[in-house]
Amino acid sequence: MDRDKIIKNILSENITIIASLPLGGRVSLTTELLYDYAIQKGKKTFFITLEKSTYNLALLISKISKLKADLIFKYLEPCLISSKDDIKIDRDKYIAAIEKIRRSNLYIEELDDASIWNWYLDRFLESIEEEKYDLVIINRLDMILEKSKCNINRMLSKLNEASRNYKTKFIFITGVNKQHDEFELKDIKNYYKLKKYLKNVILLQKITKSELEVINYWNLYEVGRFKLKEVN
Amino acid sequence: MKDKFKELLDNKVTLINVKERGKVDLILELLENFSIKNNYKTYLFSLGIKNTYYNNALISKLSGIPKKIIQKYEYPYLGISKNNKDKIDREKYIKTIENIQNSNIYMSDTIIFNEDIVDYILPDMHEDILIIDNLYNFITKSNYSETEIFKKLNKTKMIDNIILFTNNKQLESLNLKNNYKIVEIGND
Repeated sequence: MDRDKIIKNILSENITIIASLPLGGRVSLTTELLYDYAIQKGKKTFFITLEKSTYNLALLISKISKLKADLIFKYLEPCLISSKDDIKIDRDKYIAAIEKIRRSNLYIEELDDASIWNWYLDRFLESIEEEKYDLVIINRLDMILEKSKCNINRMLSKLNEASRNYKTKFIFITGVNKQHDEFELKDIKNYYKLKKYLKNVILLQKITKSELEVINYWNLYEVGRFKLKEVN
Repeated sequence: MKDKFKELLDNKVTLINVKERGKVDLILELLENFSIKNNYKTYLFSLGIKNTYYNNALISKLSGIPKKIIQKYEYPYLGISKNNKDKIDREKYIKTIENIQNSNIYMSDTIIFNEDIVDYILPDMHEDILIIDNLYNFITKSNYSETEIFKKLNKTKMIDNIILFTNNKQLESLNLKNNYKIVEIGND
């Protein structure tokens, strides 16, 4: 299945949970979604993340400008040890891409602390009537569930209601940023735990540099393998 | 080097108590003085505050571009950035970033506090000067006691000087048991 169909598939339900992504895969896929929805289609998109969004921003600028993401990252974080480099950026392309993001309807909020999620969610639900987002991506559900004692049934029912009223699509991303072996074990557990709540739970795994394989949960043991092309 | 900054390097570990506002400006001034003017390898370890905050402030200080404009280019996805009237001086902005890349200033942040910072990160650091902002987070979010932390800081072999930042309120609540060289900056 091609990339567009996968993204369409992800957006087919009001709420989708995408489970089991290592960091690189999560960043790639969320950036794809942000690029498609906010930059290409001009939709109002809100990305709430419990991780630093600099990687997403670097990839997004890279997609828009066609400049290399690792070079962009060095300009976003010039005080990192890896920042010293003789290769200079094309300043006009770089700035033009940033200005394109400024003109878009993309909004990102970094939350430092998952424990305030319940308070944050109520505030967010109050604002949604006015904001009427087309797409909201929430990264990472596993941290929210672990640290906020959030009632997942209540949250999903509230978001479903918001989705029906304002046609907003919600995507949760879950996963851990650990070594490969630990990641697989915990993620598979997360995935089975979450799929009882929703029909649209998608498991992504086996991220390699050249491909991103997507396995739908209902096809987990059948041949449900899809590929996303490399975004780096 | 200005005398008031030279004094900060007299001891291995120095605690700066900033009594008034202006901590960020002071840290930026130290980074500029130590690293750009004197070529010391200086590392800012920001605990609880994102390093991008200092990054923006530093670009602003060195380039003369107002912080609010830099912010719109560093965070193009914020509501306040969507007003497209403010355009940046591209040459000045990129040149300043490249100057910082080529300088001896390094920064990182962490919102995860555990013993790893003390046991694994600090011993691996090779710096002339390490600035830690701030002492309160460093002590309260670690399982080590204040005495143990200071002992470990003093024992680091590959860092020449460590400067920790605090303010009056934090200092009082920490109720430090030992005497450290505390430099007071600002009026009561």
